[in-house]
Amino acid sequence: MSWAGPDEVFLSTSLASYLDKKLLVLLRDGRKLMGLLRSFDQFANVVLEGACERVIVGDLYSDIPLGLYIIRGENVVLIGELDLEKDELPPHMTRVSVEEIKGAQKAEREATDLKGSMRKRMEFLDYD
Amino acid sequence: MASEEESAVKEPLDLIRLSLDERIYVKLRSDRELRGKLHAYDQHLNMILGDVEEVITTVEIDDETYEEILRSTKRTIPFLFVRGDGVILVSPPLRTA
Amino acid sequence: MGLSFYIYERSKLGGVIGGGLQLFFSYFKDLVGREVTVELKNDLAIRGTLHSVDQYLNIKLENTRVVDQDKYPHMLSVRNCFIRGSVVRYVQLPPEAVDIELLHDATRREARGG
Repeated sequence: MSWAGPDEVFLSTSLASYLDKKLLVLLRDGRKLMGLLRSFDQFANVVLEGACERVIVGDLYSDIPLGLYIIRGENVVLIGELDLEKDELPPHMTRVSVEEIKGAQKAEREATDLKGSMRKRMEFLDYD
Repeated sequence: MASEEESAVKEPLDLIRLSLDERIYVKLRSDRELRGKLHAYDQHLNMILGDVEEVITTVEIDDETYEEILRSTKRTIPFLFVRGDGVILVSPPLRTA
Repeated sequence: MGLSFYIYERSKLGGVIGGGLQLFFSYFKDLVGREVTVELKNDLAIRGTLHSVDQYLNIKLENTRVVDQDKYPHMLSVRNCFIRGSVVRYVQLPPEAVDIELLHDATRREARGG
């Protein structure tokens, strides 16, 4: 029951072969979404059903459920077909709860921000 | 000898046409520079270069002193397609009179 | 349907193909089935067999592997992918698939038509 626009999209490099498959969508801001491809067009706008965001912090990861997502093509970097026979992630990675991953993400962000703000302070000192 | 039509320079891209099969310098976004032989280009400045040398300049922040350290990494690639939207400038080879 | 056909069409029509210039589209069609490395603007580099390309230079790769796998663990089980043309920085080309004379010829024709 998928609809994928006019026939000509099937003639070019198209996402038709990915319809109804489980995909990984990389976005320009670095986010990783997963879900079933239900529709697309020539701009690579895509509809993902059962979408979730896979957040990875170091060796920890978690999938945050999102629902039905319509993604604007401009923001799409890559759409990958997941090989269901293979492990999705390396064995050393551990799945944690949504709360835990959000905490880890926050800590990571604060560490980067600290480095940035320390640098600004040092630059300020350089001006004397 | 090139015909008059072939060698006339009326617009910026004519200079690039005259650089076909010559080594050119290309400055790209995200602090990248290329030097290579120009084999093909189009109006978007998409290009194919040969014998390419790429230099990436990165700024690293020292963890202790928070000083900026400039580091350039070099690599060579036999043939490279370059997407035009990343191009900042193209410089043809210097011709000695 | 590749670069030779493009040059043939150019010479026949005097440089006007529906207003769209497509030298690199034609060139990449010739590369289908070859191994290439696509480097993206976010620094991700993927090697794979070129499956297809379209007018926007969107690219489909098969049997892909990420060059720096440890840095991109989420790409581990991706075997085939679609890459949006606009996010491509470079494509490393196999030397045996670069016909310099043909490229020069096509480029001069494209420049004349443009």
